Amino acid sequence: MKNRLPVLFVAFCTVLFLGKLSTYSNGAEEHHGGHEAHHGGVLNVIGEEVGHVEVRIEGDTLVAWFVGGGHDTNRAVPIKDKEIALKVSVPGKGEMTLILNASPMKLAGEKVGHCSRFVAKADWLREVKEFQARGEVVFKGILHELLIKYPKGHDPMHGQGSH
Amino acid sequence: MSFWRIVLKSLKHHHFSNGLAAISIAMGVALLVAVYSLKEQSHNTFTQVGLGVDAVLGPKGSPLQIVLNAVYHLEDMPGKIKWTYYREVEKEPIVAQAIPFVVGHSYGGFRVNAIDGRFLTEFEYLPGKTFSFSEKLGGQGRPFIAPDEAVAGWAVARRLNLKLGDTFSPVCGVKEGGPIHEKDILRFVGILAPTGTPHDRAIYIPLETFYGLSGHPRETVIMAHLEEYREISGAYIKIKRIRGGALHPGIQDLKFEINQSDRNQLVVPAEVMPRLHNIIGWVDRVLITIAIMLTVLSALFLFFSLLSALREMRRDLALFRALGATRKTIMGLVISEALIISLLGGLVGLALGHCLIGVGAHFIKVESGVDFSAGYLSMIDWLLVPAAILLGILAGLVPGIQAYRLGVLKNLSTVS
Amino acid sequence: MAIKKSSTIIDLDSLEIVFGSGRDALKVLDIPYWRVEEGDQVSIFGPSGSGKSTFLNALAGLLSPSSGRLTVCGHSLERMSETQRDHFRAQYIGYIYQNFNLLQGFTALENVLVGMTFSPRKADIKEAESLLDEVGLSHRLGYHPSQMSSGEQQRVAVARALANRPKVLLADEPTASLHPVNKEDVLRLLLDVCEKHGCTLVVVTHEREVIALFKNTVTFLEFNRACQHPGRGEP
Repeated sequence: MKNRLPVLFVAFCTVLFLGKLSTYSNGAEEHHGGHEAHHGGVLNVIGEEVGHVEVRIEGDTLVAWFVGGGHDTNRAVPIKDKEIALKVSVPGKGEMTLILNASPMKLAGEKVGHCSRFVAKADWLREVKEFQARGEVVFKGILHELLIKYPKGHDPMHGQGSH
Repeated sequence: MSFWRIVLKSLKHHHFSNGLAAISIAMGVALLVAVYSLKEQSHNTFTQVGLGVDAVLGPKGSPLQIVLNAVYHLEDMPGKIKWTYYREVEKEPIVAQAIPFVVGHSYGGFRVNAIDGRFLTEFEYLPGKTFSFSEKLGGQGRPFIAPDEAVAGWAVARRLNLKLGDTFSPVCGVKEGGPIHEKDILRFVGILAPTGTPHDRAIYIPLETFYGLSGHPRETVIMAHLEEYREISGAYIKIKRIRGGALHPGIQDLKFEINQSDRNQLVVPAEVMPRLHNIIGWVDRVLITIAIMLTVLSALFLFFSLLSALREMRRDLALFRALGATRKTIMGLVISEALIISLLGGLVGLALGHCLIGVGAHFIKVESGVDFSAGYLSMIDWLLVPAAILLGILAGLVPGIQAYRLGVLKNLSTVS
Repeated sequence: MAIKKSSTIIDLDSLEIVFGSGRDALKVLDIPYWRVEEGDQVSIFGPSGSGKSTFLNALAGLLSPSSGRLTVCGHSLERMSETQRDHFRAQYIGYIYQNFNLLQGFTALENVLVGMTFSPRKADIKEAESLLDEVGLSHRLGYHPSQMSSGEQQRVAVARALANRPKVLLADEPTASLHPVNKEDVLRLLLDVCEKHGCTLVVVTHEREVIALFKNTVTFLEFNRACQHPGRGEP
């Protein structure tokens, strides 16, 4: 940051205003205690919180983002896998298989094989209220079990349902 | 001799202590006036939501710096982004409009922004409002078309006394004394009608003009012709709306995605500015508290000054009673004295406060580019006279009551 | 209240003034009867501490009678509120003090103008100048009391006392603070201007040379029955 910014800030210290800007309501970041799901989805811890997978359902599509652990949920963590198979248990519907396919974020410079976003489509996703999914993923070079709980999320250290 | 003449005589008789009281009130009021005026002016300047800019695509760096530069024409951009990247973002489904710009030049103390022409014709700086050149609205001329044409914001034209047809050469950099592109003569073909936004304080030239300015290195000149090498400072992004006029929720996903890149980021002004306000808001509260405390202390000084003067005035007040003045009249004399001191201090403080702003505004403008007006009337200016009257009455009340209860015979020496 | 139309300007009956109450009560004035006609010039002679100033203060409406009747210029002072007595005094009474009691921060002219301020009439600079001229101080209009001699200050006090065109002018030991050389001059001036303005004059004094100039003198010790009891005095 340039040297003039402190001067600007000092000048701003005499520039005084109360009141608040109205903030856009669709997911503007606010700092609460706990971890932030930056896509408005639910966070599920990977391993001993080495990372998270954030999951969001839109209609018949499930989108999953692999992100950092702890408070670092704003940082994408690319995965080498091209697809991830999940065994999904839906109450009252038994077990199903859901394949997550890599969907690279082009603007982030991702490609298949170096991708943090995965997408799956299935008709039953439209009406699902709750499910639990298991799988495996090589995350930061180590094979981890993947446990996704929807809609509460999975965070055994801070209690379930961290949003 | 009228009642008020007697009050003025009494004031003059105790001119030293009364003068000190008035000065202390003036100082408290001056500080209050200055603080409130700056507070309101900055609030007006910095709380217009985004000024039509839903997001700014810019280089990695301080989000605040990017917003201050892109939206408020202050500070510098921390780097550049690639034109090809901008084009990728422009194609995103939720992006309604993306207007690229390049900063880094100035003229007459104002920023010169090289910008896509759509900014002047299609960009809504406030909901439903695009820039106008209509004379009825205070504008002149038309948007630029040719590379040697320029458009000035309304505040720029007023400050520099610009007319259509005037020419200028941009200065490299934003500080005075930078190298001038002397071989490049640009002509003002338009003056924007006032918008009441920071856009009034900038000069706009065609985007391609930037690359062709003389003195720029070949690498910059090539950018005009070869997109793969072209760089820009950033782009104003407008996001599509959903039902009810709310921003498309995909903006958070887009922001996340862009922010993962090495060189770029997407900054939402509406998220950045409140954080600044929260920090400065506390400074604001402290300063106002100090100003109020100073004014209250001044009122206390006036109170004690009046009490002290009352001891000296006892004989005179008793004499007025002996001459037929009622108790209420005597009380009125004392309270009126307090009122006049308070009003005088208030009015002097008002003038002093605006002078303070005038002096401070000059330095703030030089150092930061933020413009403040010494003549701006804040809430305090309107409340000053009633507040001074109230202050005077409160300060004079107890001495006034003491004067009311004054014993005539006890305080007038009679002998027989 | 009803204003009596007569040439009697001061009329009192069984006037008593008592300070304090209960066991600490001190009767300072006990005057059975007194009348003064309009235009009279009366002196009241008595030693210091005999209650003469208290009597003048009662006549001026600065003190309310504890009992009895006191009518001045047709106004029954015993029935008036303090504010009513203030208005009465502003309109009908002029008062001169032993130690002048001028306003130090005001010039001679301004002191006289103050005498008009609280009365119903408007302050009139020309009249104030005329009054100061009458008392021989036309050359001292812009002077402050501290710049004048005691004789000149008392003359200003005389002019001020006449400023509201009073019906009754009360003077409390007006010459006691003056140099012997000035006493007679000031006294004669007082008598002359009161006669000229048609003002009734009541002067209290302990100086024999003062009462020598009056045709009508009251001996206060005989006049005030409260003086006949030992151990009294003005608080």
